[in-house]
Amino acid sequence: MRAHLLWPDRPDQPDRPDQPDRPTDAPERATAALDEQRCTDLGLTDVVAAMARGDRLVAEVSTRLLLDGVTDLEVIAHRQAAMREAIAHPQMVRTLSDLAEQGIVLEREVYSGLVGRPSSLLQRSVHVIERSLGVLRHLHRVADRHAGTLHSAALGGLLDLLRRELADDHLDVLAGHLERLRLPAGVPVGVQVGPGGRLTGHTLREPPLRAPALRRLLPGTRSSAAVELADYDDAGARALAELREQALTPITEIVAQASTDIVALLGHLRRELALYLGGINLHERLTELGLPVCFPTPTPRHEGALHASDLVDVGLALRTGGAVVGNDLDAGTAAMVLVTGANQGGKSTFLRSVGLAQSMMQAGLFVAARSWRSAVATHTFVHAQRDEDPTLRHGRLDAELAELSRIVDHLRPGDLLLCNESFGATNEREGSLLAHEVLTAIVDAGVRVVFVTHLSDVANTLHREPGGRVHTLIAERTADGARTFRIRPGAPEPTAYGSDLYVEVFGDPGR
Amino acid sequence: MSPSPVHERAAAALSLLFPDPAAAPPPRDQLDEDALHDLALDGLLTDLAARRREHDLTGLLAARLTDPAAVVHRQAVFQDLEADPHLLAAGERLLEALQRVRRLLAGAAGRTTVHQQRLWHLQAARAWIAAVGRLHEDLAHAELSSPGLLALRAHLAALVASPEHQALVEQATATREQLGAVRARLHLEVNRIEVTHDDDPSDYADEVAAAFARFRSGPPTDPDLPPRRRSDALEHLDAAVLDHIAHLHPTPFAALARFVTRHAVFTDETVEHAGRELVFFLGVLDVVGPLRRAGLPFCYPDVSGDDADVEVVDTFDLVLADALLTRGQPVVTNDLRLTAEERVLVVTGANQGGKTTFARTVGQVHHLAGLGAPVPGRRARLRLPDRILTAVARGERLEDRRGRLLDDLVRIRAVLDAAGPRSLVIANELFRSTTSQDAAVLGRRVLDRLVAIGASAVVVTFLDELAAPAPSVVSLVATLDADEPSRRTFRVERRAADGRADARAIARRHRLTAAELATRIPR
Repeated sequence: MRAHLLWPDRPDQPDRPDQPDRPTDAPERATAALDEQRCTDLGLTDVVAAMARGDRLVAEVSTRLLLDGVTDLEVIAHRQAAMREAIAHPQMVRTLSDLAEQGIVLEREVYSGLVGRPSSLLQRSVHVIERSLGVLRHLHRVADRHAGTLHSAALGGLLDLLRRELADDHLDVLAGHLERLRLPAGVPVGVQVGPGGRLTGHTLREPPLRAPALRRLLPGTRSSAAVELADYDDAGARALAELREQALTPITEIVAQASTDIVALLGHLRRELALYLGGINLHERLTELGLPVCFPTPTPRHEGALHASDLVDVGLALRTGGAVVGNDLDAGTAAMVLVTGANQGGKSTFLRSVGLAQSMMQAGLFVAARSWRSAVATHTFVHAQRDEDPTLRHGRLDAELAELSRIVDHLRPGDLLLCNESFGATNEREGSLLAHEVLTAIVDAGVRVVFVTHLSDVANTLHREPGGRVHTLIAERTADGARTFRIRPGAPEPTAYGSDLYVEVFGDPGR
Repeated sequence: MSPSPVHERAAAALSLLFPDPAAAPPPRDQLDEDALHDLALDGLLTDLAARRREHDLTGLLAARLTDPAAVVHRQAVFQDLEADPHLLAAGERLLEALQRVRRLLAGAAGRTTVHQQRLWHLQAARAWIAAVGRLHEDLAHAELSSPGLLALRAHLAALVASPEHQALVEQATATREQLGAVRARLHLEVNRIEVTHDDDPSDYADEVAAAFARFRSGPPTDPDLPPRRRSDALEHLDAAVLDHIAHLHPTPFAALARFVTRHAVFTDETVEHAGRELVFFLGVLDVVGPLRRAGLPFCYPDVSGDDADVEVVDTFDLVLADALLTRGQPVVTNDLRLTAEERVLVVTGANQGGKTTFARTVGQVHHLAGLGAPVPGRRARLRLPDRILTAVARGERLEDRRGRLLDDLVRIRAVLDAAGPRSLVIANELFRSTTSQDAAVLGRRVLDRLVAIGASAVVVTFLDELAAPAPSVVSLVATLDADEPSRRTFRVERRAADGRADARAIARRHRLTAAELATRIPR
C-alpha cells in the first residue's frame, strides 16, 4: 500500500522504498557541498522557507526535490496535475497531512523506553495499532468525502487507495485480531517433541476471547491433562512465563512489524504530501504578494529552449516582501545566454530568477512568471564569486578556479551551468581570455551556460560568435545613467558604468 | 538406565599413531618443560591445548619417536591428510560428532525424567549413526595411502555393513519418525498448562501477518528482541509436559523405550580411539596449515639413514614465523648442512642476527621430524637423535655471579652426562655471566667434550675463538644486511668467524665508511 504522489505508479520504474523522495533518474553526482552552495546562490532557502512555514519535514523534502530536479517530463506532468488540484483543495491536503502526522506522534508517545520481554512488546504494539486504527478510519472518511472530486493520478489515486485499503471491513478484521492478541483467556500453543525431549515447533493457535470453562466442566469428550503449579513454586511460574514468551515471540515480531509498518506508511504519506503542502503555502504567499504564477512548460533536453515572460526572482520577492521587476527572455535554442552590462543592474537577480524557475519547474512546482518554457537540465550548477577580499588577488583566482574545477568534475552534457561573474577574480584581460577558453569548451561539450559578466572583452568576443550560439542580454539603463533593473536583448557595451556607481556612492565623480 | 560412554569392548583394532596397535609403543624421547621452553615450543603447546581443549595433546607433542619406521607411519597419515582438504574437514567433523555423542550420552544421564533420558539417548545414537555414516562416506571417496587410514577405512566399511549397525540405524530412524509425528496443544494459563491433542495445523501468527500485510513496504526491521535463553526451570517444565504428552501418545513412547533397551551401548571403541588419535594430527596441522598457506615451505624429512649427511633447505623458526606473519613481516629462511663427519655447529656473529633463532630452529626441526610431522623447509634429510638436550642461559636473576656460573656448569654437566654419540645438544650463550676469559676457557672445554662424545650440537656463542676450525666443527656466522642494518636478516652463513659483522654494519649506519668519510670531509 503506497501513495504515488511524487512518482507515477509505473511497473517498469518501481519506487525506491529506501529513498522514496529521490528520483530514479536523479543525477547522483553533485556533492553535498555544491548543493548547499546552490541553495545559497540561488536563494532556494527563501523559497523553501515560504513553502515550509516552519514545518521541518516540508523543508527537508522540498529542498531535496528542488535540488534533485526531475528530467522525466511525465513525472513533471504528474506532479503539476497534482499540484493544481492541491492548490484547488488546500484544506483536504492539510487534513490528510495532519492525520498522518498524528499517527507518527502517537507512535512516539507509546514507544518510549527500552524494548523488554516479547509479551510486553506485544501489548505495546497492540496498543499502538489500536490507536492508529482510529487515524486510519479518519483518513478513510476524508477520502470518502472527496471521492470523485479529484482526478489526477497522484491525488485522485491516493483517495482511491485510501478508500480501498482502509475500508471499514478490513479495519474491523484487524480490530478483531487485536482483541484476541490482548490474550484475555490464556495462550494456546501447538508443540512437537523435539530431539532430546525439548518441546519444539511452538506455534500459536488462535487465542480465545473467553476462558474454555465449559470444556473443563464436561470432561471425557477429549483426553486432556494439566500440569498444575503450586502457589509457592516460583521457579515453575518463571518457567511458565518463559514458555509463554517463547510461544509469543513470532507473533510479537509480526505485530511489532505491523505497527512499524503502519507508522512508516503514515510517515511515507506525509513525506509524499510535503511537496504539495509546501506548494499550497508558497502559492498563497505569491498570490498575496501579487506576483505572477504559472505552470511551466518543460521541453526535452535536446530542444534547448529557454523562454520566459515577466520572470521574477521569487527569492528576492519573498525576502523584500514587495514587488520586483520581471524580465522577458527568448533565447531560442542558444547554447549560451550572455548577460552583460552595468554593475548593480539586476544581472545577478536575473541569473537567480532563471536558476530558481528551472529548479522549481523540475521539482514539479509552478514558477513566478507569466510564462516559462525551458528544456530540462540533467543537473543545474551555479558558479559564483564569493570572496570579496581584493587583497588576495592570486589566492582568490586560485580558489575560484578550484571551485569551477570541482564543478567540472561533475559536469555532463545536458547540464545547466549558471556563472555569476566567473573569472572576475583577476584582471579584465586575463579573466576574459580564461573565460572564453573555458566556457567555449564547456558549451562545446553540450552544457547550457548562462553567463553573467562585467568583463566586456569576453562579452564582445562571445557576442560575435556566429550562428545564434550566444544570446546576449544587457542590463538596461536609461540615458541619464539610472538603472531600471531590467534585462533586455542587446549588444554588450564597452564599459561597466562603474563610474556611475561611484557617483551614486560618493556623491561626486571624483577625479 | 544411564549408559556410560565407556564400554567394555574389544580394544582398538588399529592405530594412526603407531605402526602396531597391539605391541607396546615404540621408543620415545620425552622433552621436559625446560627443553620445550628452550626450543620455544612451550607456547605453541599451550596454544594447541587451548584450541583443542577437549583433548590433552601435551604429552603426545612432547614425545618424539626415535624409530624411523614409527616416524614413517605417522608421516604417511599426515601426508594423506595434507593432500586432501576434504579429508581434513572430514577429520574435524568426526571429532565434533564424537564430542557431540559424548555430550548427549552424558546429558542423558543427567535428565530427571525417564522420557527425557530416553530421548537424549536416542539423540546420541542418531548423532553416532550420522558420524559413522559420514566418516565412512568421506573415507570411501578419499585417496589414501597411509596404512593407518587405510585400516580405518576397512574397519568402517565392515562396521557399517554389520547387521548390528544396520539394525541400529533402522530402529533409530523409525523411532524418531514416530516421535516426530506427535502433536500436542498446550493451553498456557496462570499457574496451569493444559495438555490436549492438537489437530489444528494453522499458525495464528501467519493469519495475523497476512491481515497486516497490506501495510508492508520495504524490508522488515529488526524487532530487537532480547536473545532467548532457556532456563533449567523450563527444562523441568518441558519434562513435566512431556510426561503428559507421552500419556496422550503411548505408542511412539513405547517404541522409544524398546529402542533404548535394545541399544543401551552403540559406540565402537576403534572409531573412538581413532578419533582421539586424530586430534594429534589435526592439532599439528592447525600450526602448519596457516604457515603453508602463507607461502612458507614444509616438507616430510627423510629419516631413514642414521649416518647420512644432514640437510635442511630453507628452514625457519616455526614460532617466530607465526609472529612475523601476524605482523606482516617477511620470514627469512636458513639452510642446515652437515656431512657425516661434521657434528658441531658453532654459531657466532651479530647480535640480533638470528643466532638464537637458528639454534632453536635446528632443535625444532629435529623434534618435529621425530613427531612424524611436516618440518619447516623445502626438503630435509635428518638423523633421529636418541635425545635432544638443551643448555640455554636463563634470564638474568638476582644472584651472584658465582651462583650463576655454578648453575650454568651444573646444567651443562647434566647435558654432557646424558649425551651420547646419537644425541643432539643445543647450547646457547653459556657462561655469559662470567669474564670472557673464563668463558673462553670453559667454553673450549665443553666444546672439546662434545667433540669427544661425538654428539651433534649447535653451540651459540659470542666468543669467536670457540669457532676455531676442527674437523668435526663447523663455523657459522649470523649476518646483518650490509645496506640496511636496521633490517634483521636472520641469515646464518657458513664461514669463518671474523668478529667484524657487527662493526661494519654499525659504521655504515653512522656513515663512517671510508668512501663516505671521503666525501663528507671537505677538501
